[in-house]
Amino acid sequence: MRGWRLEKRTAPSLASRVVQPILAVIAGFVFGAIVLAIGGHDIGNAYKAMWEASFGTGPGFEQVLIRATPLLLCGLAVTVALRMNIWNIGAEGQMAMGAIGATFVAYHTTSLGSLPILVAIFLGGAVAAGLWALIAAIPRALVGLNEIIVTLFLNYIALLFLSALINGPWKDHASIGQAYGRRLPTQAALPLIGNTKVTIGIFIALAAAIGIYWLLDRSRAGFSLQIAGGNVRAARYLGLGIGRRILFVLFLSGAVAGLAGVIQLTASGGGRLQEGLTGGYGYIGILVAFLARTKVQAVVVVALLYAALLTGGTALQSTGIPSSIAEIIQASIIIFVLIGQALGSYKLVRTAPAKSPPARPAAAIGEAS
Amino acid sequence: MIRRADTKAVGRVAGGEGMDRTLTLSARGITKSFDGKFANEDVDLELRGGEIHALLGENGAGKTTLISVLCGQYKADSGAVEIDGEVHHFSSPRDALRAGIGVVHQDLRQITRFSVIENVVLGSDHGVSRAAEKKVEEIGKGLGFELDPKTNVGSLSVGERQQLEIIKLLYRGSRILILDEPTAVLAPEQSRQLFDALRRLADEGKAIVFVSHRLREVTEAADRVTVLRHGRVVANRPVEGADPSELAVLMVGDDAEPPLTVTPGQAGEPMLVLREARCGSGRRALTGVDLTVHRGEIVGVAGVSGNGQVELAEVAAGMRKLDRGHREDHAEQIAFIPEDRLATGLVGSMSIEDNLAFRRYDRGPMSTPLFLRRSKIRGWANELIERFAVPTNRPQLNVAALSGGGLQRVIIAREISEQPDLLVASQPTRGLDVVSAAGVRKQIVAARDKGAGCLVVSEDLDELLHLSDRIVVMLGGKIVAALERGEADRATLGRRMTGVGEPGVPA
Repeated sequence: MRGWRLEKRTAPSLASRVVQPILAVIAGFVFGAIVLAIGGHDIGNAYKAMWEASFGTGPGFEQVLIRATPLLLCGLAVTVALRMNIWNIGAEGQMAMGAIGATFVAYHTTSLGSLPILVAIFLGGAVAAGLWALIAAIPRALVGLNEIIVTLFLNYIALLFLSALINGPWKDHASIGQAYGRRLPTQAALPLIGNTKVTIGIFIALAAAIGIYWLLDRSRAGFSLQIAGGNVRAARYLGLGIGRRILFVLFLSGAVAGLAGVIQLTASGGGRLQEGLTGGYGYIGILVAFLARTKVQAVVVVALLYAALLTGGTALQSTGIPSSIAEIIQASIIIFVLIGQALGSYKLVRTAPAKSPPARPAAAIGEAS
Repeated sequence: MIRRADTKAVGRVAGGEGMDRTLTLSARGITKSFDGKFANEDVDLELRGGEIHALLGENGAGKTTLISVLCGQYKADSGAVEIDGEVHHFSSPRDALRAGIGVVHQDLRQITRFSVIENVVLGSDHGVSRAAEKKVEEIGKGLGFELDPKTNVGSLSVGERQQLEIIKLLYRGSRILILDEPTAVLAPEQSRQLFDALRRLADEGKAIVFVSHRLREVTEAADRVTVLRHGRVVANRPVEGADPSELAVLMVGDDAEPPLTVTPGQAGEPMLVLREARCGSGRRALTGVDLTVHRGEIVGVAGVSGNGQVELAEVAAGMRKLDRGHREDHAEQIAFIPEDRLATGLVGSMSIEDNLAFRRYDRGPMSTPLFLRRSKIRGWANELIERFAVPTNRPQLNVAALSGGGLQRVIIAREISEQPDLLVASQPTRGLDVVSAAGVRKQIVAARDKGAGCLVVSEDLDELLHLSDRIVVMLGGKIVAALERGEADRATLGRRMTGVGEPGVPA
């Protein structure tokens, strides 16, 4: 009598890493189709609408890129910290601080030309957001205070601070109803690419991806971050400073998320601070980094696909399908991908039925060491 | 030692003529394979009441598998376990426990937040009661253990937790006690106490099995020994009259390396000097250590565990600052082989090749200021894997996938290949099989012969006697004795470690 048993893979094969997420996405759409059928909607039409609104058409793809930009930056921000085992849950607040910092700089550099002002506000936004993240990094580095909690709560402070600014000192008194900040100078608008609605923000995000890939995977610093993230005691043993690495990583993480805030400010936001500017991208960024397993190349792909899913989901609603169903489809795809990832690290093995799997197969089988 | 000989003689007499030893357990033809590889092949094991049986074998010889089969954790592919003539089929450790087989695992499975008595009754069909407490106290007293049933398990030492485990099994009525490498975590003194207790249990008619790869223990404490090699039984014989070196050969087979001959080192200029070194508090402290390690010598550090050896190693390696006193080294490169390999020396989530590059990744040729050079890192790793026989054919795998011996080789390869001037090794061969351990010792001697000053902390006295040009003994955070090669023997070291008597004065 023989049975089946799950066994942990020592290293998932490349094929399984590529095939398995594709299968997961398909499974998600199949599940979505079932939900659509139950709701009495036309499955073909619904998916056609999603496709046309995302990759299927030029304008659709533009929308995807617009959404992918902040998503990519936030995914990168979370990834940078996660490589060192630091959880930055605060990208949302750091986006807000980035936008605030950029606005502050823009208000004080109105006389500059377009390029200098853009450089100045991007720098200002990145530095502001990086410093904001340091508020969580410093107690973490000094006394080990949990950065997850601190970064999370800093989000509320940052978003409420933004709200206070646009309802107070930076309020645009011409705005009626919803509160807005005063408009930025027109030179501060991010240029568009050709005739599209996409700003050059996507290039900034891609450049950030390349830079972070270099830092994490190709540089000495990245190697040492991996050591420090993998085993603090080993890092100390090798004489690597932990505290300053925590500060560095969270500053960088915050700064990258801040860039997303500046792009949202100078592009789709119409050049002024407003509530909802961060749009939840900071939180979705955590999901993006997690789905990409902190691999920078994968973050780029996942951000793009997730942006398509968001865009397609919005388009679904215009066909009369309730937004809740669009969200169910989104969520089910994510869940199937996660299931796929979890299962992907195991393989099915045919075996004699064992009551309990071997706890230490290595020791039991024995390697001649 | 004297007590052992006595009790053994008594046991043998009793077994030979007096009481009729009932056969308690007989396993026949046990075969168990994983992925087509035999971990146990046609293994027979006979245990008798009143006898201490040692299971001897290298890492991976199949000892743990055999125990797992006996205690119902694994189901054998074939073979049968009989107790008192009755065939048993265990489908879980619970079944085995009910049949009287109790196992003390290497990793003690206890709930540290619970008290001793709570851990004992946990899983039995009744709760904590005065009667239960009394019974636990009695069992403990009978074995010479001093365990307060109300103590929190988290505050016990490893040795005491092992005692608790034995009490727990006896409380549940185990007649056959199996201990998986019980002494791996014990200091020599604690081991002696454990074996005394086991002897008392055997005298009560219990059958005892312990796993070990320390020959001395086997010859001193066991009545019978079964030697496993590559999953098969290669010997099953009484310990009396057995020659330890013969057992060693049986255990490792013909591929055993001849014992390493260590020529005395040529001590040169001082490499490390400690004066009145103090740090830490309580049992984890140095309370004024004076020590000089010279170029080209191996200084061994002996002592009952918890007398400051860990701290001394860390201070010597420069990983820990002194509170008071003075430390200076003249080493350009210090190598440190820490006691807990995976916890301190390695990063489990990184690959074997990355771990091998930890000392070099930040300079040429492994990297330029801008880029790591993967091919150089890989080349370096492959060179070390070859030179130090790291057991892997996929250096890209996570280092955590290696066995204990493999992990130790990775650290040693990385540290020794830096041509250190000062080498600090803490328990360098703990948990390694004979062949691996010999390899490690050879590397330490080779480092010394290249001019390194070596400080070796070990609980294996034979190892220290074998390797060291000088042995210092630590007690209470101080060095209480320093003995030259040839001057030291086990008995002297043992006395100085425990602070009993002066040399020449009978302890």
